[in-house]
Amino acid sequence: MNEEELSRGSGKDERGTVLEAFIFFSITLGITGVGAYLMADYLWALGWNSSSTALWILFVVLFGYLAFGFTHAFIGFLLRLFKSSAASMPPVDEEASKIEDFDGTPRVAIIIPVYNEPVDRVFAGIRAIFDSVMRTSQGDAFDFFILSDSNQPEQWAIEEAAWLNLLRDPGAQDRVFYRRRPDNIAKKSGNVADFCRTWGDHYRYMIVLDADSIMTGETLAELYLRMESNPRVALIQTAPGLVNGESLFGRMQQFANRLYGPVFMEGLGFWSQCGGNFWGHNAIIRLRPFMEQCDLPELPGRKPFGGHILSHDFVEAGLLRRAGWEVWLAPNLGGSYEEGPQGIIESAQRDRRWCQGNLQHSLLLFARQLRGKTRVHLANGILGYVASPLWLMFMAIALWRAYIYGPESFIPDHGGTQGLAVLILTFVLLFSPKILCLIDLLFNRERLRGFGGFLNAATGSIVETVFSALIAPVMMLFHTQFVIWNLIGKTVGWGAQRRGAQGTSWDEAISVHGVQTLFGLGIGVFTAMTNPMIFWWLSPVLMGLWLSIPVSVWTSRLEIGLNAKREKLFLTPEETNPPIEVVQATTPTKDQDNSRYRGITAAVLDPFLNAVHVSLLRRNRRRLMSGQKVYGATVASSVPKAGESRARRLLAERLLREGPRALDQAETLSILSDIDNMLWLHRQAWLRPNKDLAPWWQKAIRETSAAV
Amino acid sequence: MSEKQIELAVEPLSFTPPSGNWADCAESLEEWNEAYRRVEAYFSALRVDNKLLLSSLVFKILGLVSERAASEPGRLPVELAAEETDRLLVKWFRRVLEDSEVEPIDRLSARGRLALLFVETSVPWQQLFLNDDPIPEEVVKAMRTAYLRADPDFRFVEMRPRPIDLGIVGVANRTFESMGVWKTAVQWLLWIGFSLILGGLFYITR
Repeated sequence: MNEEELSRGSGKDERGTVLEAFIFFSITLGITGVGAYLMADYLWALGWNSSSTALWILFVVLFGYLAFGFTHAFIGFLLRLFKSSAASMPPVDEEASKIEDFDGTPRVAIIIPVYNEPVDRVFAGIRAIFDSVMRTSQGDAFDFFILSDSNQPEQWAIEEAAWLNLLRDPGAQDRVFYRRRPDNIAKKSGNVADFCRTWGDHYRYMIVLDADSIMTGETLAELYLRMESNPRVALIQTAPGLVNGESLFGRMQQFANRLYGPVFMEGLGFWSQCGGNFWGHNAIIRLRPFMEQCDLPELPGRKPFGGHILSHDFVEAGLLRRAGWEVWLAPNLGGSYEEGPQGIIESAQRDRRWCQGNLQHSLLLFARQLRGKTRVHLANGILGYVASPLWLMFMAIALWRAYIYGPESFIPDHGGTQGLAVLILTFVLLFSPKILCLIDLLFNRERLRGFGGFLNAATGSIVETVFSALIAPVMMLFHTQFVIWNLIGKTVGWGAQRRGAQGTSWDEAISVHGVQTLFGLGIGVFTAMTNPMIFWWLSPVLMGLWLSIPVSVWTSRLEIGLNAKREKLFLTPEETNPPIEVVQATTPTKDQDNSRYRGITAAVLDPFLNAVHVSLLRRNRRRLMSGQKVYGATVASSVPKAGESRARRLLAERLLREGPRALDQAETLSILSDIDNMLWLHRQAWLRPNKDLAPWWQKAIRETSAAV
Repeated sequence: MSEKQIELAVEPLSFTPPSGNWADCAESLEEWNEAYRRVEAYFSALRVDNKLLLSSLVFKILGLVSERAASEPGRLPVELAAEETDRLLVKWFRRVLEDSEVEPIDRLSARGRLALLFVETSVPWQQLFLNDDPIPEEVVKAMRTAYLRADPDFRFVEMRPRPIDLGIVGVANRTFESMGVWKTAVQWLLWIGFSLILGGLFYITR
């Protein structure tokens, strides 16, 4: 049986039936209906007016969203309790997986798109994954591609040096490849598309990893076998667990992810079945359908909604589904990890990018031929950000109403039980998922031990809930701000995410949270002076805003996170018993040199690195030239125009005479991109006497000598 | 190899100071020291990690420089040392890689360095490095065939974006159609019915 003979999914005989979705959404709608009814009854008892209509509509949307989340936990809990496989994709079929090779080459390309990420951490992760893959019996099936879009010269040079270092292991030669794009058109999706155009035809599958992803060889091999035995599946998404959190915020996020995540993921897998989603990394993709269906068009209109699709992953999954292919979530497959933000500000920075991408999906929400479940995924992503301004509107209307009619206007003349019922129901939806997840823990001894026992897990859950309550109003204001910025057309840059637990400084916290604190103080003072009862009602929300600066600083601190770890607070199974891959990926490499310009210096002075750099430039130029048909205009930019060479030589001369500081980023980049100048620089740096070299180069040469 | 006598190229250096006393010409001594350091640094950057071999190579270069220094008095020892290193390196690469002097020097040098890098673990090139002795066939072969494999061969595939119809006109109709009316109609009817019952209950109890 070869792949040509395998019929792809037609959508007519999908294993994921509509029954699961019907059960799931019926529960969601049932709960929402009850809440909507009780709220309407309550508002009616208060006396219906125009503000009641607005409050009710907002409530129904927000309560429905809450019920949607609750149903995930509820269904997930039941499935795990009864050990049901209703959320799982069909298992590996040993017979069906015996598909003949195309041509005997490796079948899976593990691609790691990087963009100005911390090189030491990225390459330590790649090394860990590579070693882990090689320990499995499927090791020969995998090739690794580091696909760099880094546009900082220093970063580029260090990446090449790190790659060269990897190649010192003979096993990695011919298995770990490096390619840097001279221009990062269409960002990550363009980077992946560039890989597909050039080498996609060599492989049957690709596994997309993020720069901070860690996956075990066992999991990678399992994904590969699952794809082999399910020819109608185009994509399997794993549920990455957060690891390596060091600050208090990072460890809380990681704890919540590890404790609640598996239960919620089970619920998600249940309703989505073969209509799953793609989160951009830690997933395996069948290359042929991906290349046929997922070259994304630009959206019409101006930024921020028009242009390149930023959150491409949801759309790619939707397009695969549109073509009849299956997309599955693998909720129970472990060995898939990523790192999370280490502070509130870092988290908000990430959300700012994601917000734009998700709001852009509103254009696609009603796109023709998309599947219903794809629309739910898109809507869920949009609501994840739009819910914040809706909550703010809800509170503002309620506050306005309390001022107009007095706070007592929220207490009906007769009865009043409906209001209490709404409150209780809301609290149940908010907190019962956490309780269900704690109960779930009791049924798995190994997992329970990983969390340091039930008492530790419960304590962690309570403390995490308190902090979440403090952080929620801050994130609400952040998200509201991001949504408004996007609506008024303020675009968002996609800078590299700052990772690690460096911590937030007081200055940074004041500049970011200052307005939020003042906003909270303003409302607090106003309500306290005019209507103390409203003040007390609002105080839980206001508290988060008042304390936003110290909470942001303290929760980002490494030492507080480590103290909590020492006290066994927020322990996770990966901390108690860390997988070897996670340990290896975070072990600092020996002799880490973090001095400035170390990469550029090495690219010029190091005889081997210089030769490798030039060789890669040549190879890339040849790639672009031979692929002109598919790359189009990109080729022109990679070949220097007449007259540019002389200008570059002058820059290179300045680099030697004045040192790397004399050149700006673009100038350094243009020299690093020039084969002749890099060769010339290497010879000149070693040939010239000290008097013709900047002190920088003199020192670098002296240090090479001193190292002997 | 253990029985073979290793000949080290420690050439006699003739850079005696004009006055005959080193103490009188600290400047000249420093210049030669710079030349020494430069050559040593370059070879150590080439991972010539055997100290004895390294010293031997440095002295070999400085020996050649000392000969040139007499005829080129205006030039600094470090310049001459760097030139000599470069010249010997290119000569050796040319011999090993069988280059017919067509390739520009810096490109040949880069090719040679790359070859050294990739035969580093398999071929003992350090003992033969910059040596005039005959080079064993396996070393020559290994160096000539060594190359950097940064990626697999290119096999280009054209990808074309599939259009996504976003038209607002008729969206409701098309969406309803594409969502599979018959497949989901029953579900929707049930949910709408449930909502109507709630609405009815609410209205009746007013």
